Amino acid sequence: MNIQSGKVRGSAPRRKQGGSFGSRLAAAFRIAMILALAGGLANAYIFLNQKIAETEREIRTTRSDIHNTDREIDNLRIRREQFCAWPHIRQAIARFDLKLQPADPRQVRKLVIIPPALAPRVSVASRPPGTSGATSVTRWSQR
Amino acid sequence: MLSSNESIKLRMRLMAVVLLPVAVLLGIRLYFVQVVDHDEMYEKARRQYTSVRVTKGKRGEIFDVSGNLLVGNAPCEIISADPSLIKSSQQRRAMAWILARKLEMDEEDVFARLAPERPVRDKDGNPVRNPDGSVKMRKMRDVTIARNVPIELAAELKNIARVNRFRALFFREGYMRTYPKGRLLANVLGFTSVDGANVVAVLGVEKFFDRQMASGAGRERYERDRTGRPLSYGLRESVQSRDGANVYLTIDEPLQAIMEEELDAAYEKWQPKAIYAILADPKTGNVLAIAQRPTFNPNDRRKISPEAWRTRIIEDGLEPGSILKPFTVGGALDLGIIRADSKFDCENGVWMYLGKPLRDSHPYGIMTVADIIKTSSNIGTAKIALEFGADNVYNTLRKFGFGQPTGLPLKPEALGIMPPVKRWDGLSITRFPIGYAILVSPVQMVRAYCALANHGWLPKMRLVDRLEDPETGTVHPIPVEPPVQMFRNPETCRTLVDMMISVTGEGGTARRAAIPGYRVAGKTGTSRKYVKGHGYLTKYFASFVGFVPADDPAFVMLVTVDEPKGGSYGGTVAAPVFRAIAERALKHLHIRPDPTLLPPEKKR
Repeated sequence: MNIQSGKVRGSAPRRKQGGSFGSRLAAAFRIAMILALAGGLANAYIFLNQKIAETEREIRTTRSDIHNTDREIDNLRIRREQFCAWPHIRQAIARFDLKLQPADPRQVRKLVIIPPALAPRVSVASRPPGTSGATSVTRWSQR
Repeated sequence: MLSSNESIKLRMRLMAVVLLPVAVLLGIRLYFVQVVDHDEMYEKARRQYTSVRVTKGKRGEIFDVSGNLLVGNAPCEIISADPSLIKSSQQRRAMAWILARKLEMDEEDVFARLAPERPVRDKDGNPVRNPDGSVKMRKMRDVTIARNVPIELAAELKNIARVNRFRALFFREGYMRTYPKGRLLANVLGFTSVDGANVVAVLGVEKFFDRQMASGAGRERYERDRTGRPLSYGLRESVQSRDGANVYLTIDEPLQAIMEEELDAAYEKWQPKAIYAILADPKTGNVLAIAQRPTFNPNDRRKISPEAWRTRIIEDGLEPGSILKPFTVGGALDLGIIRADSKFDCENGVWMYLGKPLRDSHPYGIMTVADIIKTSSNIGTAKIALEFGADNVYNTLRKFGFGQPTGLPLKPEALGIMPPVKRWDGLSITRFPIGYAILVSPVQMVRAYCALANHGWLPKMRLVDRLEDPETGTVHPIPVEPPVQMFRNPETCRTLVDMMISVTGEGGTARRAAIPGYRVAGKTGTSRKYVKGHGYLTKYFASFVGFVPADDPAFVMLVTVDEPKGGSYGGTVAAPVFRAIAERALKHLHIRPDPTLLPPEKKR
């Protein structure tokens, strides 16, 4: 004997059928809009996530490039210092037969450059045409 | 027979009896997992998808006073392999061939390193055996092939590995300590060694400033994806690594290069056991150059001899000989016990005192104090010391810093031997002032001469000018400490310097130190070497220490030649080296000659 709990299908009160065709269409449209909005949001979410992932990848690549460039710069700095070592310069002078020699101290003049702000002002009347008021003055001094 | 309702009730009860305990058990388990063991479980789960990366900062670098790099960090790569990933024996052979060729290694050695298994060995190095008698083997997963591989070569090898699909090869980034100027200042700079992952400072400034220059490790913890890459939205905690402080020395690289070059020439000419020189600014006590031979190239330390290893200017003590004389004479002048024109009998070259002879290199008769310094008379100086008194001699030498630390950041520092007066014997007062039977370090001697060059003010020696934090750029200067006055009478130093100028003049012992156009003040020293048990040998220290221009010195310099061959006198061996370095140093510093001192044809 098969016994089912619950109400017998036929005994349930029948719901009143929906109204006009227009109202049904409006309901369907509302549902479609909600589904479209949800779909759009999901798409946007996926799209943005994809963009974030791509940007992350690019950041990682750029960071890696910067890191590698930094290491290359470090390496070049060491190489430059090796080339600046006196034994290396001496060899280069000999190799290219440059005939260089250090300056005699009597040939050396100390150049003092006074910044324009501190330089003495020259009056407009005595100034040659085409020159500015503040002049940078160089002084030769001997040590 | 049960009615249908009763049957349903029974079945429901039965199900309840079966399912309820299960549900209760599940609930209890859930409680333990979610509440009691929550932290542990959460941590376990997190460990599955989080990684920790340890980063290392860079060790501080060493520069000269103008910012020229002396010790730096060169980027490099460590090449390692996982032999278990090697597909075949042919691939292993090919890898070994390429790596050996590119890294200049032995091919068989590389091939052996790439073995997937190696025998387990006991403490004595014997292979451990299994119960069945076979050799117990250990699987190799991480084998270091080469360290400190230059980045260009590593890039080439990476390319080869990619093309040949050598998946077993791994490249790890690192930095190696490098000395771009080679042997320049090697003993002072020192070097570091690697012990596992740790950097160990062995010698010199590297060791003294190890704490400041050492880098701090950083730690980054992040959530990762399946491939191990960090998740953009995941947890990320990091402690930044810290770079070590940069050290700026007072050394001037061009002066250092000049000194090293001239020492090389002298080392070749005199073929001594050792030669060393120091150049310092007497006003500030800044050490501008220090060099020694033999030395070593810190980039290639496989062939360092014990002779080259030691930093002689700070670790060695020497009997200075006559270069010590000006201090006793200066002390006696300052107290007014003698004057520059006071006369002493120099006994025609041999003087017996307490039954022991004291000799001069040449026979001299009665001489003034000025001439005693000029001719470097031992007998004259000993007689001055006798008038000065033992306590005064001792106190004067101590005041000039002999037997005391100089302040240079180098270890170990020899303080020398300067026994107190109560331990002197009768002869000590005639031997100590002429630089025998006491030991001083070369740096102590330079410091004492700095006082003579600096109008009687003794500076504290400086080798380090400043420390710099490379991240913030903050500079911590090491201050110049005020000098200490040595003489009570300001005229004493002037008188003493005049005497020392005569040393490089006509009739002086160091005419070869004279530089046209400049007044050079200095003193020669020639001391026989004392060996315990053998007494004084016929081997010598030949020294010259002086400053130029004498009226306003740009620098003080000491040159000492240990056991020169073919000469022994300071005036013959060391003075020309002084002149060679000083002439070039004066040009570098643009110190103009005095036209009145130039020979007529050179005047302009």
